[in-house]
Amino acid sequence: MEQPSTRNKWGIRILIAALIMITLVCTGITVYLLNRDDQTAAPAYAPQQIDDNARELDNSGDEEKLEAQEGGGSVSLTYSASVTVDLAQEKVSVFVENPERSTQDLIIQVLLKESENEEKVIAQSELIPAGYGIDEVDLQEDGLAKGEYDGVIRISYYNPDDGEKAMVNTDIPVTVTVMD
Amino acid sequence: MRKRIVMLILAALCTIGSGITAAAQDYSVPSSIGSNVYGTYQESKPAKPVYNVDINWGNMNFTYTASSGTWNPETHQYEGGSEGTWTAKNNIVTVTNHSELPVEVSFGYAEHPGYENITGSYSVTEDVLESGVGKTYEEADSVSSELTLSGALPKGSQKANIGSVNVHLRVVE
Repeated sequence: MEQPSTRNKWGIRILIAALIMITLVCTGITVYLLNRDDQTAAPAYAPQQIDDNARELDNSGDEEKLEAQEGGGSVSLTYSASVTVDLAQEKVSVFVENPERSTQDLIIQVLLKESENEEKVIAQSELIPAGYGIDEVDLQEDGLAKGEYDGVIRISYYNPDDGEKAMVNTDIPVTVTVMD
Repeated sequence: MRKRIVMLILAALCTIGSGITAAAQDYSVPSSIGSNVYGTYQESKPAKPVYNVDINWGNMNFTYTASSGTWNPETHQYEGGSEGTWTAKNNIVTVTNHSELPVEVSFGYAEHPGYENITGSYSVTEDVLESGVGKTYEEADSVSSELTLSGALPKGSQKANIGSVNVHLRVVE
């Protein structure tokens, strides 16, 4: 039986190696796409640090907490239903206060609605504990164009004792105005 | 004679005094300088309305109870099984409006990945809460809604994180 020539042997080996590499790359991409986290999901546990932009409210220090059902939570939200984005300063103006009487800490996200079921996070705060408020959050999205967009302020709540995320969140539909 | 002179002098003094008094009115400081001042009350409103809303919720722990029945070795089938039912305590969400403007509230349920077959529904889906104007703090308008679930929970699930409650707060136009 005639043996394959050396050149043919090397050609076959190179071809097999290339096919293996392509298979590995495709498998890796598939695994990544199937397992990547939802980019709009709030963290499962409370951030460790208070947001740099957060300000302490005028707290008495001994205000009675709101009544909460067993194992549940209770918050008192103060907010404005309007959001502006300053592209030059890279800041998102959003007014939310979490009074001292709330039993939960919170974080806020500002999302733009790209379609019926698609949203994009353009800003997300660190922790805003009970007794704190916020007026602006750092912009985290590049490439926004000037104009008005349908958006949402999403507020997620966290147990201050163990940092666990509550089963309840709040959505405030807003118009997001993007300015230079 | 002397008396007449004194009387004349006194009369003259009285005349002169009256004249001064009468003339004094002509030389008093004027009560107005001829220009009127107007005042108008204007309500100072914040640049954008601010809302204040309380949200209260229970632990949302649901239990799914189902029985697959008894295995019959002759038919190789489970018999006497029952369809699963959901029970819960502390599955109520309450929203109270303390704002000076009305707020539209709606409740939603989002299934988490892997539990898309379990859906949630509410006793009250949406409501418009009146503003707090004219009401005391205790009289503030509120809405409570009870969440119920349907769909089967996989066997063996232990405190699975199956979904979340969304409370939507909308501006009333």
